[in-house]
Amino acid sequence: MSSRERITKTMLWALVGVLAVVTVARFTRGLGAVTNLSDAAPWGLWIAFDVMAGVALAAGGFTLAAAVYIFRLERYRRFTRPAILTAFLGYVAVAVGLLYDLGLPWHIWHPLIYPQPHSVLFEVAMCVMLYLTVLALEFSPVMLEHPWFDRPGFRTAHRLLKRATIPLVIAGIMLSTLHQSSLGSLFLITPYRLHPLWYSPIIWVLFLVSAVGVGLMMVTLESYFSAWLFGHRLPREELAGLGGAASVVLLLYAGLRLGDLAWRHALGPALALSPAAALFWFELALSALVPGVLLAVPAVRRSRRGLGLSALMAVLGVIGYRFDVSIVAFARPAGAAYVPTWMELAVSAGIVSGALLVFIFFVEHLCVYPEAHAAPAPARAPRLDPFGVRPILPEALAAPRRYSLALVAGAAAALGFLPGAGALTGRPTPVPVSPVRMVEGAITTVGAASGHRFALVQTAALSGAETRRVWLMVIDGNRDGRLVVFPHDLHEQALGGDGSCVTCHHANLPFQRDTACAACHRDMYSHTDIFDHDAHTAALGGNAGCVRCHVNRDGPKTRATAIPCVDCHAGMELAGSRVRPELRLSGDAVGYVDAMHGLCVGCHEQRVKEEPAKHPADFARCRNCHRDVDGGALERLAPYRSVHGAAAGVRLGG
Amino acid sequence: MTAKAILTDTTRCTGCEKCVTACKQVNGLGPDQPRRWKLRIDDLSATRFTTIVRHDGQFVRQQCRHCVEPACVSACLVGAMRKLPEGPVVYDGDRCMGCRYCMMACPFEIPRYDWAAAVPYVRKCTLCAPRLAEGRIPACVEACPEQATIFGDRDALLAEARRRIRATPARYVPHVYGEDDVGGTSVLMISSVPLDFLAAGKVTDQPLPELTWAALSKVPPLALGVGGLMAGVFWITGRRMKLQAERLDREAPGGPDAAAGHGPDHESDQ
Amino acid sequence: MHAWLEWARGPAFVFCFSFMLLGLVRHVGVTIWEIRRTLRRAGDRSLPLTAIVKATLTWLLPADRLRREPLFTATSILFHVAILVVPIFLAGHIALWARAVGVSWPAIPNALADVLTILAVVTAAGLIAQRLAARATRALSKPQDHAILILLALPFVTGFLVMHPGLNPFDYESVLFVHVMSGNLIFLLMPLTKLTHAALLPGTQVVAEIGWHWPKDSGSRVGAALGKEEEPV
Repeated sequence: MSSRERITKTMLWALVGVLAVVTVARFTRGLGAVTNLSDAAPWGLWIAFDVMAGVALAAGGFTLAAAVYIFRLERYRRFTRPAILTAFLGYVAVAVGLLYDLGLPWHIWHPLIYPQPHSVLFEVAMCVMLYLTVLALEFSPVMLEHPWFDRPGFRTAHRLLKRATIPLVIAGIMLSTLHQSSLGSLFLITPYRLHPLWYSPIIWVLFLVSAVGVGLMMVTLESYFSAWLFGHRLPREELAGLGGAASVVLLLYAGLRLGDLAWRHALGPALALSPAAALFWFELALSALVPGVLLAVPAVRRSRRGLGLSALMAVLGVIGYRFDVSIVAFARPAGAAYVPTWMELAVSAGIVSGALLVFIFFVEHLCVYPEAHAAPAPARAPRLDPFGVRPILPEALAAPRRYSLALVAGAAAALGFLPGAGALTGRPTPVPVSPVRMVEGAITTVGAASGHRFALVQTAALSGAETRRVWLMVIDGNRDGRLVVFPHDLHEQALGGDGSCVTCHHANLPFQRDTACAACHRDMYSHTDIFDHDAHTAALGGNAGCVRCHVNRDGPKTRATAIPCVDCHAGMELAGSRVRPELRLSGDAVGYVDAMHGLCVGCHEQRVKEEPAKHPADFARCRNCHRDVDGGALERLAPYRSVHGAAAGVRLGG
Repeated sequence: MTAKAILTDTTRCTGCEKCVTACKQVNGLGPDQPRRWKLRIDDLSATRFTTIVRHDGQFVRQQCRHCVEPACVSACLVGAMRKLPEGPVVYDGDRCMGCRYCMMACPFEIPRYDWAAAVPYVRKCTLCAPRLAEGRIPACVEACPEQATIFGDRDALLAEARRRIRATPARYVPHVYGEDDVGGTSVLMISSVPLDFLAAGKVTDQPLPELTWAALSKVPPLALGVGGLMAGVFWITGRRMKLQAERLDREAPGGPDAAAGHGPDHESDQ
Repeated sequence: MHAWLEWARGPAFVFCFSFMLLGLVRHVGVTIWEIRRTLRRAGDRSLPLTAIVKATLTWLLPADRLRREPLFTATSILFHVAILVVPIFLAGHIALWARAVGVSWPAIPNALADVLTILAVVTAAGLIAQRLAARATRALSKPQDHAILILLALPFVTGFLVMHPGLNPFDYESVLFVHVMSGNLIFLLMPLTKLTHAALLPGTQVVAEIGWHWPKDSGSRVGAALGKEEEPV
């Protein structure tokens, strides 16, 4: 085994390790926790890449089978085994990817018992299911050749399967034609959501033709890959033949696509200067125009680099076509961007890695490349030291040990990166924001320092040049049942515009329930930390000062186990202070609103209770002090109009 | 049972959202979903089947339109979405695979997914199908204090909508939204502002399932055609090779061994 | 520095700790797999279980060795007890676990932790000294053996400084960072170095025993016995 092969396999195993951890997260936490899918983007990377592109790239299987078995182009026979194996593993990867993407993957067999033949997806599901079976049967003779299967029962099966080759190949071609095209038909039902440059009544023809072309290119790339990895000879002459065929098919695809637009008089958007047009031309050039033209030149398709580059372009381009149709060019409401999470990427990469590992395993153990298989394995160099670190270990296990280590490292890294730093339990909790609603109101800029004032309805107090009518959001900002006016745009502006959303809307983070107003406006509502730890550390002489407060040597050093402030700051407590005694012990201070209300409201309530006759009924209600509330205007930080006297603002006591 | 429908007159809606509250209560929906899965804070979500959209100074109620020929029903490969004869498009979670093709297919972008759940289902308005079965009217209609949303036979409501538009033409856009849009819907709307923004584009009267069926109905002949073609090609190439081998045989006696490698039965010795 | 500290005891800790757990599980799995293979190849599945258990217990509770080499054995035992008890049962560590995953268990008094911490540092130094003192161990020791002992002592030294800020001449958070990161490094190295014995110890005697299970005719077919039949001699 070459070191190149070993390094490749190590990396693939590490990716499979990452996949293992993300798999656990995906199936315990749900789709929403590991993907960036949303109601505006219900299909994402897993559909676009694993299913749409995966099926297209696996088209080499039926294309090569048709060429060799039906059209009897014998010189391509060498490609059939790897192509069918690639197709088989590709479809297995599609099925596995689908299990991740489906919300209820344990219902994946439901099309069998609840068929709905009017659905394109039903046809795709049945064809993929049947074709996977056909591919397994097509490939199984290669497996049955292995000496391990050299037993009577298997020999019979081998013989029968060999005899069934032609019917199987024809069935495979029929099924492939159907579902390769139907994957395009899926989007026929979305004429309003798929961009006109991609939506077409013949999108199913485009999908089929592009799949045939990219299938051939994929077989080419796969030859390059095995030549690179296993050191096989590159069959240049035959590959050039495939390239020529692919050139015809790809140019046919480009012609159909442009011709269809022209036929429907829909070429307009393609000629406009727009991002969509740029994407359209880039994708079409990458997938078909450039590789198609390049491969039409015999010198290019005979050159190692030219053919490889063209194949790579075509493969990336057709993947791009599938991405455009299912994600990029699929309309979603403004502002609903979809960018996959690293976990979505890890699943796609992990599944491909797993498939590649199985591919390598088959190549190593079965006769996938008949011409290369006959070559004897190079003799291993003698090892002088028979007793390594652990002499009882058989040499053969050295490689699995390495790969299992890669697997473990990948899994641990994924755990470290998992949101919530690897806690596999716990799911994001929805924010309780049900009482949110919009009301009509007005906004007045009072002055740079004082900020803004809001009114729920237009009032005389708030009319004037500085006043404009707006929709005001009223929210239960602190989840305490009190509604406040919330100027969303002003917050967005103050926090830095686009991209500042996460400052408040990070409710989706595990362990982060919500972001209440008080998270930022601490001085308004919540008890505030008025204890400055750094200042105390500095004042008490650095590290040596810790024990002055954290006198308890057992147990962790937290605020709960430290001494109360009053032990040192004895003079802090004024005689006759109205500050409640339980608050003096901690580093917490009551919020501004509570503090101010606490000074007044208690007395007012008491008065109303004691002498109801002497006081107006609303003496203890908000409007008694907040006069501006009258008339429906609800103000943020309404200027408090004192009735007790201008100097003190409040009058304490009786 | 005749086809029932809802008629919403946006000019009468005051945006009080009593329909939203009633809907949440009747369907046992909890608080709204987190922001990350929706666009606006009061957007439809797995726990909000209807909402009031402010558009051009109008309150427009957004909910499932219960199409007469629903794209979601045609899209669903396991028949989890069904159109009931009395109007509602209902969903059966026991059949659903979670492929979310219905969400892609809906021209009004209505179905929502329960993203936060480990076992997620598609959620959307049911037109209160369980209540209809009991002979009651949808909760949102019952809750509306302004009769902005009313319930009844679809034909009767269509007539009422046309009557209102005729009575005060200045007040309405002269179109009953849902009469023929995408083949007609069971939620009809009349409005003083165009309501095209509720759909993903300017919808036509063509039912969307027809577009798919045009391609899907070609499937059986296509499959048979391709199969027949392949069998034919196989036979022709086989025969041609056989003739070639015979010719070589005739021209060069003792040569059939050399040509055997290209014979039609070659695959059996691979 | 605060952000670095959060990183060290957040993602970095999760990575290193899970790497240790998974890596040790992997070691146990690979060992069991190899034992099975070896037994099957040898065609001799009998194992002297009583002898193995006895040998394991003798190694775990080395009463006999304590008599023969009292100083080294005592140092080793005290060292192991200290480095196992302190990190697991320290009140501050338990508080971190309780905060992260909501699981807690009884803690040892901090005074006892202090004693054990000092003991761990002293015994680590003692082990190094004894390694260097005897000619045989000096010759057998690789640089790794000393480095691991120093690395094991590092979190105890820094931990002690963190617990006793009065004695700490350095910045508090920097020392805490070194403390966390050295602990992380130990976790990371555990499945990769001889620290693996933390998980493999109970199997050591089995492995040693299996070592003698050669395939039949091993004497005449040494290559096959060693699993190297394809290699030219």
